Amino acid sequence: MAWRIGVDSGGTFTDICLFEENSGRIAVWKVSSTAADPSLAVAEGLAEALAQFGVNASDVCYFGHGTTVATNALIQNRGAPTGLITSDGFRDLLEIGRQKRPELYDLQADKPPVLVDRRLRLEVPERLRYDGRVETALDEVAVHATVRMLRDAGVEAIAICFLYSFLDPAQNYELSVPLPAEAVAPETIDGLADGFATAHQRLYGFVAEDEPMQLVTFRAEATGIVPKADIRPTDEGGPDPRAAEFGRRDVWLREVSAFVSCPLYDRERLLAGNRIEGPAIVEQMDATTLIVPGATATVDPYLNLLLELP
Amino acid sequence: MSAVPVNRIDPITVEVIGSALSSIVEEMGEALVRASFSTNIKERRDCSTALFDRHGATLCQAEHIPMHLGSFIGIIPEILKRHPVETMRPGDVFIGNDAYAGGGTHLPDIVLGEPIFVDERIVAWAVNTAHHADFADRGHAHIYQEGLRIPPIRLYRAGELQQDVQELILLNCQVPRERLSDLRAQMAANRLGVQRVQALCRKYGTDTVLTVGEALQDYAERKMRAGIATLPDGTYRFADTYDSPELGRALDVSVEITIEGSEMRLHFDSPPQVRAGINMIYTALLSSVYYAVKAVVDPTIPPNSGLARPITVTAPLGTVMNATHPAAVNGRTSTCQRAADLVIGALAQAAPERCIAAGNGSCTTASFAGIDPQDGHLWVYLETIGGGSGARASKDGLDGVHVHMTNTSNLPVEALEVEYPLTVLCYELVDGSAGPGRFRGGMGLRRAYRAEAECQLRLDGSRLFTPPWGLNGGHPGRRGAFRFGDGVEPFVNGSGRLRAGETVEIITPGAGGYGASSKRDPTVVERRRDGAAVD
Repeated sequence: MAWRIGVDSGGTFTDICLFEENSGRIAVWKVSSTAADPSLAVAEGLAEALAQFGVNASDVCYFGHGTTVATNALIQNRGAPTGLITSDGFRDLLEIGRQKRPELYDLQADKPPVLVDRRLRLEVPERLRYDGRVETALDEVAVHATVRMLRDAGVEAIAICFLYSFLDPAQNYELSVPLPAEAVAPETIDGLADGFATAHQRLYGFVAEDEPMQLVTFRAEATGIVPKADIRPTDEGGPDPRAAEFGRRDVWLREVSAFVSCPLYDRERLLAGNRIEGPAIVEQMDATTLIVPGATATVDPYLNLLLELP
Repeated sequence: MSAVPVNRIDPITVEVIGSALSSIVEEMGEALVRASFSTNIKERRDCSTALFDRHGATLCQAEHIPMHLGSFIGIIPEILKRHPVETMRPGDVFIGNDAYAGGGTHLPDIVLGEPIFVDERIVAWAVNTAHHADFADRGHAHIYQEGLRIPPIRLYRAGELQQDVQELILLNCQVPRERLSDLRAQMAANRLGVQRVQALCRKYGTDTVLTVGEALQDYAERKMRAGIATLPDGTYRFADTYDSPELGRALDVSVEITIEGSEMRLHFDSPPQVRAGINMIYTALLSSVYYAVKAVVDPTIPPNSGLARPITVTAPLGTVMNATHPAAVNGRTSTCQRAADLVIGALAQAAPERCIAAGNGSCTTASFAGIDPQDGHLWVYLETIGGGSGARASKDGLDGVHVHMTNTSNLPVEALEVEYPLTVLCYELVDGSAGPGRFRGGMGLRRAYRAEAECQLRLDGSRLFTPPWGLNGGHPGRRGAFRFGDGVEPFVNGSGRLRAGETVEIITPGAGGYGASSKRDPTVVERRRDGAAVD
């Protein structure tokens, strides 16, 4: 038996869906959500579902979890009054979105409300280029002034969204505090709090004494012995891959700045020992491999595709 | 006629198959967007998909861009005119773009149409159009300057690519690599539509599907007639002006709408066609009228050809709004926007609560073209920028959106700068652009660019000279403008050059307000004080 389990944690109900891979059997179970801590309903519902359908926990091969709780909070505007600080010239991006109207023909349709009101969206001088180069360095004095303005306007949370912040981790205002190597004890947690205060003091020049501190991510890893997977080598099929060829296609190759006619191979039909000279394409359901000119691909006994670049 | 009489199909089957047709055209659209290569299609979604019946009547159009209906209603009749149905084979794909012989409305919108065969007969057509950001940096005195004119010819014959045809087309394009990939995405989208319709016919029977197609068109006609009948009979006239940077002046345009029972007649007057790319052909006028009448009368009418049956559209041949060969038509969308404004302005006298004040009334366009110094290849980047949408009878207008005939997305700042040697300096709503009123108009947009390498730039738009009007005492919104940074040589008719480091700022028009400002709820004014035009 191999059961896949999916849980949807909603505002009212938590739904559990179980799917048995071999037989295709599907079963569903439903419990009331626990708003204060949604994980309680997930754990409770899961335990009930396993008992109800006679599933052993050891037969569960996959567990997936999604939630509409956060989405609901957003669309019902139940979060804290929020301010937005962004790059100079772009405070309206949040509102403009993709500039499309909500309905093509309905002149009375409205856009959904914007998460942050226009007067609470403020700009500071700062600009990164597309390659991560700094064109205008962040004006930290302006940031402090902006934060004060937002605080005076009554916001309780501030989102900082700069262009290209994905290129520069420093833009995210994260503080990393290293975890000591020894076993975790209550003192370790206190140590983390001190480390955070020290890092905060160093970067921002002050410590917010009365603010509660939240440990956001905590991960435990367990190590044990599981049965070794049984993967057997397949039979040798010789170097000639032509049995897997199913056509040709013109492919634009940057290396030669031209279209080149490339053979197409079906990954499913390639055999161990097959050898393909580039340029060529190997197709499979979830990926396409381009073997560039000069490169060689060899299929190993476990049907891995080994690429050797020139 | 189909074997199954229309009145023998139950309404539930009609609804189920009608919804299936809608989901097929939407799925074709997603396939086209996801498989495409150029930013104008993969990000800006400047494309549309549709299914047509055997006779060339629209069965269903995806909710993308109303303007593209003009290309759709033209293409199948043009194909059928040139190619006998008996010569068509499964896997034939026709390509066309010409405004006068190709079923298109301007040359960059390349249309691909594929007949859908079931049991060796054509039951419908899968059609899509994609705006290829090409044919840039051209003249617009007549259509021969605007790009390659393609009549409806076979790009594929029984599933086999006509290499010669493709090579001829690609040689005439400035960015052939993008064109080829985008054409293949268009192929894939139609192929998906063909398979889905064939599956639908297998499931419900071909005759049933064909009969439902007719029933859906009849239903759209009934809904349109019922909607028109709710409007008071009478003749309604409305006049406006149309301006363009290509003309440097405003033209007088007007409409006269007559409502009689469940039918509507519209007659448009405009000056003789001009030597500029702002003329629109009859199918473009039709798509503008169908859009505006549907939006006002009943937005829920299914988007098929049945809705057109109670509507008659006329305009003198050889005028800006009903141009003839060889008038240039590249920038026709802004003119079509004005046609939609005219219809809504006139119908506001018959149904003020359903109509809205004038929106930005433009398809504000920036078309950049240059040579990549790294590999010597040409690059072309086209984008269109939204603006204000008109105030409504009971609420403010929408800010910074595309209105009426167009509905493309923007290209996000980061995606743009990665792809082209351009930097976006700001992108924001324009304070003071909204027309005041009891309900204010929508705000226009400001988008400023800096060129990082020399490029040619063409700017297009409208409502640069005359502002978007308000309704029922509402004030006009602010006009659009193009502002150039230091050192930029003066642009001529909207075209010019930017050197590295030079900047240009595009300000799109806001929109008109609705009702007298004195009636505005003071608390609302306070909350949205940023938006109201207080100059």
